Amino acid sequence: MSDKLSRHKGKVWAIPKGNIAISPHCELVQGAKYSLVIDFEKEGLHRINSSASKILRLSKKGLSIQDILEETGMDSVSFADFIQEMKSKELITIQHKPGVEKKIHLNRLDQKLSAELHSIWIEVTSRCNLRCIHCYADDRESIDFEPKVDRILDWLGKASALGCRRVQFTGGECTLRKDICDCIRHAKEIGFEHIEVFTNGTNLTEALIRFFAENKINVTLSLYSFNSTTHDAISGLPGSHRMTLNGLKQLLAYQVPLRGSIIAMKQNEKELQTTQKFLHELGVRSGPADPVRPCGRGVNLKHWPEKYGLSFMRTKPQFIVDNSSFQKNLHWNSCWFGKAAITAKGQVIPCVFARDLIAGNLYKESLKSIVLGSLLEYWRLTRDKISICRDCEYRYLCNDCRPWAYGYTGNLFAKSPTCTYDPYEGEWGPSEIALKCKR
Amino acid sequence: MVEKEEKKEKPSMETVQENIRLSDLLAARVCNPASEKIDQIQICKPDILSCLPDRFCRPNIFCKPDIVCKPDIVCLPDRFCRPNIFCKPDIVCKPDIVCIPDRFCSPDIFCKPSFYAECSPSQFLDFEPEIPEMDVFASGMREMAKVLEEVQKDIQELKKRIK
Repeated sequence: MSDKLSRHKGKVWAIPKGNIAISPHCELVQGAKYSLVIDFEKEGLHRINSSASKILRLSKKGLSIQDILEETGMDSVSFADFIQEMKSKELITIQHKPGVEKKIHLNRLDQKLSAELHSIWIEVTSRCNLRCIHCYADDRESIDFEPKVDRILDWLGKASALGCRRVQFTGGECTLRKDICDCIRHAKEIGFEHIEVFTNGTNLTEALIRFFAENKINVTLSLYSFNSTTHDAISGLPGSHRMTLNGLKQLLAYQVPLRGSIIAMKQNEKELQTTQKFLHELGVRSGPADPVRPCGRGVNLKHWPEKYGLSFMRTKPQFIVDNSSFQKNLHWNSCWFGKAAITAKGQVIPCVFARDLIAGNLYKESLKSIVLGSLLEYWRLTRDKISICRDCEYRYLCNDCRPWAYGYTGNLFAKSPTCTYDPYEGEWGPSEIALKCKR
Repeated sequence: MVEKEEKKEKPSMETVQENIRLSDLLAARVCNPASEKIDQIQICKPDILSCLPDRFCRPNIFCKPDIVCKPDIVCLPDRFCRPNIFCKPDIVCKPDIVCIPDRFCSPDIFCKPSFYAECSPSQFLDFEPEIPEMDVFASGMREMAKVLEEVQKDIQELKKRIK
């Protein structure tokens, strides 16, 4: 049987014989209204309508081009145009044998995709000398909890046994513990490769800083502004800015690996870039300010940086087209996978911002049973389980911060308010609409 | 009913995101003549998301124009070193100085100085009028410079004492 010819706009396309196969470097993701052809090789995203999606889905089932034409009843001109366009972009190939449903190729990703704990936060104390207005701790947690050091060493050992190699000591203010060096030393001894201390910098002694420097411990310092008035207003302690800067100076003088953490709030919004520049000029690595998360004291929306926060809204398709992330997101939560936070009370939660999502308590269960039990369920919280997102064609490219959604809506399975896309209409909204779904 | 609808609808495709590649974004052509400024504008439009500070590096990290276009802002690579790596022109134009890597960047990942080697600050600043809102977050530069000077001085003193 010869190829049919389609004439359209003066062009003549042959409707080829054979079967359509999605190119090996592409994936098809179906959404409610549109589907997405993801080209990992050229890092492009192509949205197709439901008729086009149907063609590709029938092809995946093994139907030939002729069978698809008959099944769908599409006119041959538009069909041929579509095939030609897809071919020209190398998104499909025409094969003479029925295409076999493409398997998700895990190959060398297998190991990474196995359920393995790779990073932990340990809140070694809930004590803090500051009362930051945005802190994930809230007043319910103001009673001090502090596990005994042996307990922390045990948690580290259990995490290490599960393959974990990254730890951040945090709090409260973790340097308020006199035995923090014992914890760090132990983490080093049992093979943790990345050890980080998160601190407000107000309680750093020279001896402690020297210890950090000698052991190449990474330190993250929270600074809310270069401006003392702004910083102190956020930290709740007059003079804290001076103390933090003193810590910062010593850390830099001792050449401790240092990064800065700036949280964006209404109170420091106007100075965010200036503060970032301040850190950069000092040689401190720091990304742009991170907007306050809606948990703990931060749940109060009056602190939300309204203007700066708008730039965090997703209002158009802007994704990094990365196959390994895509494969991971098919099976796992894009952020939580492989991570656990241990609170000062021994609670295991998927993230420091997810205070209410307690997977277990280390005073009652082993870390292994928690990780393989409830925590694994949080890790498995893919976009397929999130309302609206499950119908979005971008769902495996999009990264997910559940505390955003959970904090604002009270619903763990709600779409993030930072996204304006409506997959049922296939349209993006303006950034202003995003945060209207307040709790 | 749905089947009938589908029969009427012509299959169509629309490219919603062109390949954004590191090489495309950082190529020297962003500084080249007018015809190629289109690329630059596309990268630099004010409505492109700012670099997300997310420590876990979400994929949708793109830099605001001033990071590309103003000479005084450092580059912010994420751990994947993907398109959001933009360099401080006045640093990278000096061939012997590497960009500052982001906090989660592997220690051995640096931006290539040559990416911006052909750029001149005036060419970058051509785009400044398109990004007026950026100043909103950058108040107090003069005060900051004063604090910075004091801190730097103290650090030097401390270093001497440590030695």
